[in-house]
Amino acid sequence: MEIYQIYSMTSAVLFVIGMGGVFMSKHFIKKIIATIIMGGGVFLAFVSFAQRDALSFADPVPHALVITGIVVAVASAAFALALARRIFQLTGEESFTNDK
Amino acid sequence: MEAVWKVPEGGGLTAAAEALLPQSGVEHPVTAVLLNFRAYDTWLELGVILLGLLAIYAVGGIKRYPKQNEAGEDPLLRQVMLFFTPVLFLFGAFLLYFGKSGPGGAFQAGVLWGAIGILLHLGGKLVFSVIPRSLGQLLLTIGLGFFLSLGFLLLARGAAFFEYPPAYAGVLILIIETLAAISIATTLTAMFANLNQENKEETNESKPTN
Repeated sequence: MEIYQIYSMTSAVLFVIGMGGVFMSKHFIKKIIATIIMGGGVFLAFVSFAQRDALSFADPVPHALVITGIVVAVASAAFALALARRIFQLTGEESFTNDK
Repeated sequence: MEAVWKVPEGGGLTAAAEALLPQSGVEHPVTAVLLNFRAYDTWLELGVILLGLLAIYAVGGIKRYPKQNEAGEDPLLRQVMLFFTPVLFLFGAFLLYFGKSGPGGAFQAGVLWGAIGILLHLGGKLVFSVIPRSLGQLLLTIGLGFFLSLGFLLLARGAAFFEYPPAYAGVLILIIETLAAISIATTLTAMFANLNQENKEETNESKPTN
C-alpha cells in the first residue's frame, strides 16, 4: 500500500461520515457541519490523487482547485448559516419537520 | 473490484505545468496554476465568494443599527487584539509574498487578514461601522474588478484573456494577489459581521409587549 492510498481511504471515510450526518441528523447546524465534513473528504481526495505518481512535484492543478474550493466552501457554509438563522427567525423551526 | 480500485497512471498535468513554469513569472507550481495557467478559475472564484456575501445580505433581513458593544472594555480582550492584529497582518503579508516561491498566496493571506477583521469585530471594534460605506464596497470588489479589467486590457492588446506577457507576469501576479487578498479578507469579515448582528425581528421578539 502506498502512502497516497491511506489519504484516499481517509477521504472516503470522511465523505461517508459527512453524508451520514447530512441524512441522519435533523438539526440544521448539524447538517451544515456534516456538509463541511463531506467537503473536507472531497478536498483530501483531490490532494491525495495529485500525489499518486508525482514526477518532480505533485500535480499542481488539483491543489489549485482545492485552495479555491476551500474558500468557496467557507462562503457557502456562511450562506447556509445565514439561511438557517433566517428560517429560525421567521418560523421558529430548527429542523425540517413533516409532522404538522 | 480491480476496476474500482485502480487509478489511472500518467502524472496528470505535472509535466505540462513544469515545462511552462519558467514563463509563468512565479516559481511555485500551485501559484503558477492558480494565477496564471488557470487564472479564469481564480477570477470566477472571487466572483463566487462575492455572490455568497450578496446572498447572505439578501436573506439576512433588516439589520439593527450597529452600536459599539461592551466587550471592548475587557482588558484581556484588548490585549489579545493588540497582540494578534500586527502578528496576523505581518504573517499574512509574508504568506502573500512567499506565494511566489512556496506554499502561500492570496487565499492564505486573505484568510489571515480576514481573521484580523473577525477578531476586531469580536472585540467590539466594528470595522464596517468605522470605515465609510463606499470604501467598504470598494474593498469588497477591488480584487474581482482589477482582475476583470486586467483581463479585458490584455484582450484589447491582442493577447488571450488573462495571457500575461512573460516579462511582467511576476509583478502582475503580485498585484492581483494583493488586491485579491484584500477582497477576500473584507468579504469574510463582512460575512461574519452580517451573521453576528442581530436584526430587527429579533429585537422586536425580545420585547414583552409583542
